[in-house]
Amino acid sequence: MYDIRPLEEEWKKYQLKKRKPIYWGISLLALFIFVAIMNFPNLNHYINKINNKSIIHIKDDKSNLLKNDALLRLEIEDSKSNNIVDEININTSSGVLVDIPILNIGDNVNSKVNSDTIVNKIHLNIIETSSVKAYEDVEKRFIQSQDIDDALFLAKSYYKKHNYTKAEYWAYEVNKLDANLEESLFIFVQAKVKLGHLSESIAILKNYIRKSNSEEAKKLLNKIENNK
Amino acid sequence: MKSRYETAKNVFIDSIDIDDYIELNSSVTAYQQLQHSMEKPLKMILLFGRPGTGKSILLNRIYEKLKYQKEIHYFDTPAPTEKEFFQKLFKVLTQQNLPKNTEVNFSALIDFCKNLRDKREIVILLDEAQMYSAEIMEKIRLLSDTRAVKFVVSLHKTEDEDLIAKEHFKSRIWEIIELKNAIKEDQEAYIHKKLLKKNLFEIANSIKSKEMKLIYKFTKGNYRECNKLMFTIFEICEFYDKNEPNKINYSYIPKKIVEMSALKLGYINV
Repeated sequence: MYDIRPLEEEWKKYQLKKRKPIYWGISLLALFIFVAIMNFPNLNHYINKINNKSIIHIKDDKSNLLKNDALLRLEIEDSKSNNIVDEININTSSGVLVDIPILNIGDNVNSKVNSDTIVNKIHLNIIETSSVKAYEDVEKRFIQSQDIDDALFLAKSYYKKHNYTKAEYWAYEVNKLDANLEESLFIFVQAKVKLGHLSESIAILKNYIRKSNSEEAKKLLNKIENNK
Repeated sequence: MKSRYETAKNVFIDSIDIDDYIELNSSVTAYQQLQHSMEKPLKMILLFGRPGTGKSILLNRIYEKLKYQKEIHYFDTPAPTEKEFFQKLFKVLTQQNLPKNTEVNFSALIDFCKNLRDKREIVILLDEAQMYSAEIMEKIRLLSDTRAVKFVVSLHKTEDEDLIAKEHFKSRIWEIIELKNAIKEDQEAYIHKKLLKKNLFEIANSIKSKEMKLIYKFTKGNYRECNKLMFTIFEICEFYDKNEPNKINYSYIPKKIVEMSALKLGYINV
């Protein structure tokens, strides 16, 4: 009988050799996992990056929304101006006075489509018109847009046209949108005076003066009281 | 004390003893094919296959089976010289010993054989015929042409040369029987039957299917290689049984021992 020991040793080596591919596989897998773990911050970064990207996308969407809002607004403004231009054209051609708001800054309609738009809109000249439809259009537009300028325009226009009830109504609408806008308050008060609600007007003005200490309000109060 | 594995080991000592012959489906087929061929009026029959495919044991078995029915002779080992071969052949054909200090006159032998035609039908089984020289083979061919002697030539099929292509076989062999390695099921049956033949039932059952597959993988169904491997397996088992019995389990032959045997025999290496 031969010595079995060398054969056993040989068998152990053979086992090792046989399992080599398995060991290699495990080692490679371990290495891969290790590398993955080592790069975990990068992965995090990458994940964050992806998340950020999505956030950015969302933000973009939001900004788009904002922009879209703005665009919408601008478009509305554009449409306003287009309407204005249309009205101008119509009225000019028919020789009737134009009373729909137009911009102070010349006739450059395109220049309105910029950041100055809001500022420009505040300075609206109101020119009288006999076109009832034009006022109705602005009223309809206000219902959709809730544009303070439209309401103020209507308040002023109706006041000038001596339609004090409507002037009061539209001035009140402006006041609901912006309580600090003196112009609307003054139209409201003056319309009330014209409608015979003098004491009520004085009370409103006094109340406002008490809160704001407005010089313009004081002057108007003085004027109303003196007229009385 | 004698180990149980010692008997099992000895079962697989490679031999062509007819008692060790295991009847398998494949060997039965080969046997029948050879017997059928021998009944045909053929001059030469070629039995070939790789070493260890059972050629010798098949020749031996057919000899043992037919020796009382036919005039059949089995030349199991090739004669070292041409002279000795013809002396042997002379004895078979003439049923007399060649007188001392004489040589066989081949022409006279041919004439003698021609005279035997239709009187006797002699079958000579030549094992390991690849060891005969081309000259002897040529003379065998001439003898077979007399139709008095029929040769069954057993040859190794080698990688390097295709013996069938040799001219002296090519034109004269009328029947070729090829023996192949066993299929897995046959080899499994071979191992089991071998052990059961010696009443080693428990040991036969201790070789599980998984280890059988491994044995087949190493030996590729070659009977001689199978015998060698099984012998080595039981030799190692015997060693453990005698020296370190805690390392051996009688209920099964461990894979480790099969692999160790394969290492020892060089089927696998480190």
